[in-house]
Amino acid sequence: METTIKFYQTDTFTVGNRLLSEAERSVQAGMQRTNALNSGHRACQGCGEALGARFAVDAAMRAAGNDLIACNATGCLEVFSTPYPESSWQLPWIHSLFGNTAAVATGVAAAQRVKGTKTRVLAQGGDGGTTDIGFGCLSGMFERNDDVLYICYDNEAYMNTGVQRSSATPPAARTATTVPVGQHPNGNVFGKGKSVPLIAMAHEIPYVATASVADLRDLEAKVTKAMSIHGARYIHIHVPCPLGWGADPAHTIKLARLAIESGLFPVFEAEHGEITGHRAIREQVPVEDYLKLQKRFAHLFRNPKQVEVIAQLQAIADRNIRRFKLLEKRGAAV
Amino acid sequence: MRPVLDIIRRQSTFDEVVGGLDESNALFEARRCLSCGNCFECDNCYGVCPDSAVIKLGAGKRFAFNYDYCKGCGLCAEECPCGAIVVELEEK
Repeated sequence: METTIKFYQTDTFTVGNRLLSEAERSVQAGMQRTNALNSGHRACQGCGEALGARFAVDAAMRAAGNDLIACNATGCLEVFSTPYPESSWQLPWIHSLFGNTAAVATGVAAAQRVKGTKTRVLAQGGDGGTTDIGFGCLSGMFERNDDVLYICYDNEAYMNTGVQRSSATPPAARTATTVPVGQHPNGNVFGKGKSVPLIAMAHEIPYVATASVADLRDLEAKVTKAMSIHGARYIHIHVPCPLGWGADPAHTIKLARLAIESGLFPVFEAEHGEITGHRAIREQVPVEDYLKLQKRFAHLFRNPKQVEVIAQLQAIADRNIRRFKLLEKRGAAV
Repeated sequence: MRPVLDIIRRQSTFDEVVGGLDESNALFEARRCLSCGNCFECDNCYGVCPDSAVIKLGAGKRFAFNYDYCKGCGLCAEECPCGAIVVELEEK
């Protein structure tokens, strides 16, 4: 039948898509996926980090031909996946300290170079182990351009030790150390914290990207691209934490999606310090839609509603949209 | 697209006025179906389960759930585009 009408959607959010050819399908849709972080780990219900880690490491495993070593910082990911003497990891995996993951990965990469093996090296950590405690080692790894892919799973606080503020915690969020008190409860203060992807770009390393568990295809494409490059690479993955954010475990993906669509979490990629692409917002939503679903922002909606604080958060989202051109059609790179 | 009976025929007989779809038309129209309540194997549940407790059985065989590892977060039901998954509380 000759027709130009297309009811088929190929640019889709679904994990699998039978309309795409086998080669175009996502790693996660395949029955042969590695399940690098296997069933039986001790993460909470609906853990975004467990999900993000499986997405990223499975994609990296495919790209590396299952020849991969992972180094892990202390944090939720390490604690829930490897309570001694158990392990959920289906690949060689090492944990040393909270702050030295990047340095350990550097050593593992150096050992591969000396031995002449082609095994690729992955380092991973949470936002605490990356943006705060492990930052010195990370910056050193970037500066030396060691052949390591560093993945940061950003759940915006120290969730493992009981939800303390990190330098990746967003303004106004409630944590154990930024408790909203008084007549105008604010939570975490505005104007503090840092963006490690932008700092990584300042090192002019070959590849820097941000990704989210809400857009699996984008995440897999970025990990695959990062694995095709040698040198220091950095991927920052936004992973909602139902426990720390006070959200419904079923809303993990929805929250990650709203963070992208509101502009609060810009998804972009950069090569050698220059932004080369971004994931456009499909349908812009007000930040309130994102905040309302989380108890860590509940103090903004109690009487009286903190309209000014919400407006400040909206201003941050709007600035991201301007800065990374998020409303313009998807950049060429991804 | 569908055959329609001439006006003379309509006046003189009780035959169906608007005919049904032929096979190729029916297949084409079926593409609009949103598959409400029926799994069409988009793999969302398989992909979004943080505990890998959803088992893919292969093309046409849909999925099985490994309740030994399921923590009941409900992500699979939330992300199912056709509402084919329901999370129910276990009876004690």
